[in-house]
Amino acid sequence: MQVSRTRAGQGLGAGLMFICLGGLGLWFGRGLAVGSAQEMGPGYAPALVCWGMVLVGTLVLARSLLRGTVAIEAASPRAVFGIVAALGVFAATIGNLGLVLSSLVTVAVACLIEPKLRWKEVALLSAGLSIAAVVLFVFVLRIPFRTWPV
Amino acid sequence: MRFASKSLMVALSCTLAAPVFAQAKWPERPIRVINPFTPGGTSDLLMRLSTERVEKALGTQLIIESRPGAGGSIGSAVVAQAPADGHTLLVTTTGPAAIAQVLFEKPPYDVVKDFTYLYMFGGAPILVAVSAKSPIKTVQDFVAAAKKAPQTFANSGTGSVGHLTGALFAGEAGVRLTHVPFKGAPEAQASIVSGEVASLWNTLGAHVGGLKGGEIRGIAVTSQDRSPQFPEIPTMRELGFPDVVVTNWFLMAGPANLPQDIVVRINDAFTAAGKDPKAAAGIAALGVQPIPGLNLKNYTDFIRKEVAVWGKVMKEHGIKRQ
Amino acid sequence: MDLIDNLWLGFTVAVSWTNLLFCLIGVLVGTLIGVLPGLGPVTTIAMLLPITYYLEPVTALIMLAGIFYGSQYGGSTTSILLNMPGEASSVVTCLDGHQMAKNGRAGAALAVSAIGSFVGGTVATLVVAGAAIYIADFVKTFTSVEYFSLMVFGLVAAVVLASGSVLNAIGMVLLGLFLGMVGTDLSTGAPRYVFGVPMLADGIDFVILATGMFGIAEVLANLERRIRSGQPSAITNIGRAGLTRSEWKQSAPAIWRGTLIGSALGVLPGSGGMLSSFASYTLEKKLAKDPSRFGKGAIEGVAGPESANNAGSQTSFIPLLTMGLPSNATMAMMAGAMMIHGIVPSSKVVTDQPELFWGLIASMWIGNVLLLIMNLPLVGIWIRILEVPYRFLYPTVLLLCCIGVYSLTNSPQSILFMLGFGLMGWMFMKFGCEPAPLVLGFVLGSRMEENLRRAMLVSGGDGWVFVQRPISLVFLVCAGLLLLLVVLPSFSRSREALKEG
Repeated sequence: MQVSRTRAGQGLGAGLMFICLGGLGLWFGRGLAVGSAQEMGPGYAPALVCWGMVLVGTLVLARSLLRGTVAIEAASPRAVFGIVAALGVFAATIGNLGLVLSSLVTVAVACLIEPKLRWKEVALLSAGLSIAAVVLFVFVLRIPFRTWPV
Repeated sequence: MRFASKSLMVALSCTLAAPVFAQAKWPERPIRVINPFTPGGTSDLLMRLSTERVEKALGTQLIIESRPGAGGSIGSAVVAQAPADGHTLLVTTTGPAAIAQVLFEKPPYDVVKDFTYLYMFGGAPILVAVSAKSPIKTVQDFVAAAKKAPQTFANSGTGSVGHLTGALFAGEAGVRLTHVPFKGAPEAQASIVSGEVASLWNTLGAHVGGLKGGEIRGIAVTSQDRSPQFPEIPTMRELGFPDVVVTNWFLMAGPANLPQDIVVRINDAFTAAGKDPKAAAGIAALGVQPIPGLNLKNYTDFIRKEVAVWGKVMKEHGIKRQ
Repeated sequence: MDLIDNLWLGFTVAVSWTNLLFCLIGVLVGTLIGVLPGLGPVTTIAMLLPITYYLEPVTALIMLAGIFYGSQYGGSTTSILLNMPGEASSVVTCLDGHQMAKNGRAGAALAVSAIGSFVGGTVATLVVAGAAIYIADFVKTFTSVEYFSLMVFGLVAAVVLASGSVLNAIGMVLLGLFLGMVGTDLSTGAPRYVFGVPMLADGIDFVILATGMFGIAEVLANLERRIRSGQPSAITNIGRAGLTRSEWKQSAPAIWRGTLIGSALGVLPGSGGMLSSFASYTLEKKLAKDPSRFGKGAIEGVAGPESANNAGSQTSFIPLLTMGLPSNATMAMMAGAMMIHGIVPSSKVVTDQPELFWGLIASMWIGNVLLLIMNLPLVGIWIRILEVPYRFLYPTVLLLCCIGVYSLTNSPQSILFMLGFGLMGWMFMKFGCEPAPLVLGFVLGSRMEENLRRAMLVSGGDGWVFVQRPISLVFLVCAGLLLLLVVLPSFSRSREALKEG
């Protein structure tokens, strides 16, 4: 199989990701005491690990710039925003609306991600799942969820 | 990291627990009991031993939720901020209900003003133990060894009662002890059995098995009198350390200003549950003994006194605030 | 023979109608919570404790134990079908199990995981019966030094199991270690990377991280693919349930090796079960004639780890039953169950309460038989899930993840964390980084640090202790050799790539 390689590929992303995360860890951990090898402070191990991430990131980056890596697959904004919206809606509503309504809206929003949307199916699925969720979690497992809005 | 956290489910086979009688106002829904430690610890088990009977007496379910972290102060803070309607309670101990007040630079709550105290389960002493194979047989041996070279002591957690008791003792005996913290009592006990750490200073409950099984040797307890379970282990008081008298007590609490009738009903329910012979046997197996002379009227005074004692320990032995 | 007498005693206790019934209830409940994301055995056992109060102690323990190993069985189902680990230990099963499902071999993956779990459980039960005390004596000698070196070995194993770049895998392990350190520092009580969020004070919850990084990220990736290509379903071909002859031949040795590894590592406190499934996967990949099949649906990659984690869940009872020391959170709940009945878990239980000890062990084997009988026919039903059109399946999965995680913490914040980890997992896919090494790093992170700090504190800052203690040295040498094995071929491969390029 012929895979095209590019400098702006997966390696570039991974390298930058490790460097950034390591750097963030070092920055936010700057207030933690490092201590000595005998009595390590709370900052000792995180600093070690973060410098490790920066080092690995640099190597990954260098390798990808020298040799190129597989190109990054394009993202689909529809899928990403759809997931963010669906989970966001659940988080926003579960506290006040209760399990029944919250499940209903969450499933409906999740269904919107699908390109070939059929309204009847969406309605049936969200109603069905909402009922199933209440039966399983509230009646069978007896989790004291709020079922309805107060 | 942690794996599990919270038991907010009630009985899977709830058919076995059939409470629910018509009640005036309180309780109008299940009562949330926050356990500020990991599930399976002494505080959690004390609650679960009484759950069944208390549920029957109060006519609602108790949902025990574990909220561990920062020596129990995270879960306690949740209850301190909860509405005082009797639907959120706390099972607390010496750590979050007294030491936290003096240990933290900025305590997340005031143990005297922010809580109503409801029921005292009892207290357990701190056990001082060494490996069964250790040449150390008595506290005198231990002090002698520590005078020669600093000794290590294991316990479950920084700022825990065991930790401060060790520090208190080191000051009284004039020796240096190095604190080696562990995540839980089992790991701490394993470390003295393997010979890695010289001694163990921890609440008795979790180590009853080790003592009975003969893997560890108790050299002292910190209670006023000897433990009825282990009458052969001397107290620190007898051994010439009159100030090393410490108990880790277990207490039910709720937010400040709980209505008096709710307070009385909870106290009655737990008092009755504790008298059940099976529950009493379980409580004894956890190494928890009743503390005489305490009742609803003087719980808060008791807390005030304990805070003062630990404040003094911290100051006199130069333990840094966090 | 003593062992046979004892086992006989155990079976006479375990096959009473009451005990059989509660064993069945236990494994049923266990399977259910294993399949659902979120709810784990610790939570379930905690809530059932007050109910066991009215049961005989041995009956109570039989049921609670059933919940634990039942959940280990159930956890692999969703890993294989939906790439959503129901339990911590089934993360490794996702790697090849879900790939098998994509190749139309979901039935084979489910069947082999049930059979492997059964073999692992049976052998490990015998190990517990026959050698518990000797194993306990060995484990008693472990100190922080040995644990640290063992974990180093585990991390190297995690790097090996990655099918892509070794360097990326090392980066992911480090990131996992880092995430594992979030929370309150054990030694000083200082908050680390908590940012004032109470949920983080006790560390990141494993379930939230794993559900996000595997479950949510997988849904996201599938949806992207569908939107781009208009492909009708993520998995088009469900195949048949049974194993082919060559699949049998490949998985049988893997099951035995997995069982051995699991039985040995399961005894160790904390993360033994997790380490054993990673170690088993690594071993299978190293032994395979064609390691490149791994990560693309190699059946040994399901058979080995599944056997290992179920064997490990049986032997993890050893420290509790022989020394009274629970080795993980679930065992702590079991210890609690014993204490509620006034039984103090200690080394005396075997002699003082033989019917309890042997009855429990016999019931574990019976429970494994029940699980096998229950799970094999279920395979045919489970794989039907894959026939459900994906446009119905993914909203269901999303909702299950949400409710499961919410039921753990009762906090909407946890959903946002799950979303965050889902997006992270999706980003990892984009950059060609695999999440499995991260997961092991995450599980070991704080423990590894604790043991390192403790070892250095006790040794007075002398790092040589790690090579002076023989068991520790063995682990480190093994780790070193394993690392060489991985790094050398990847160097030669990269040289070839350079020549070609």
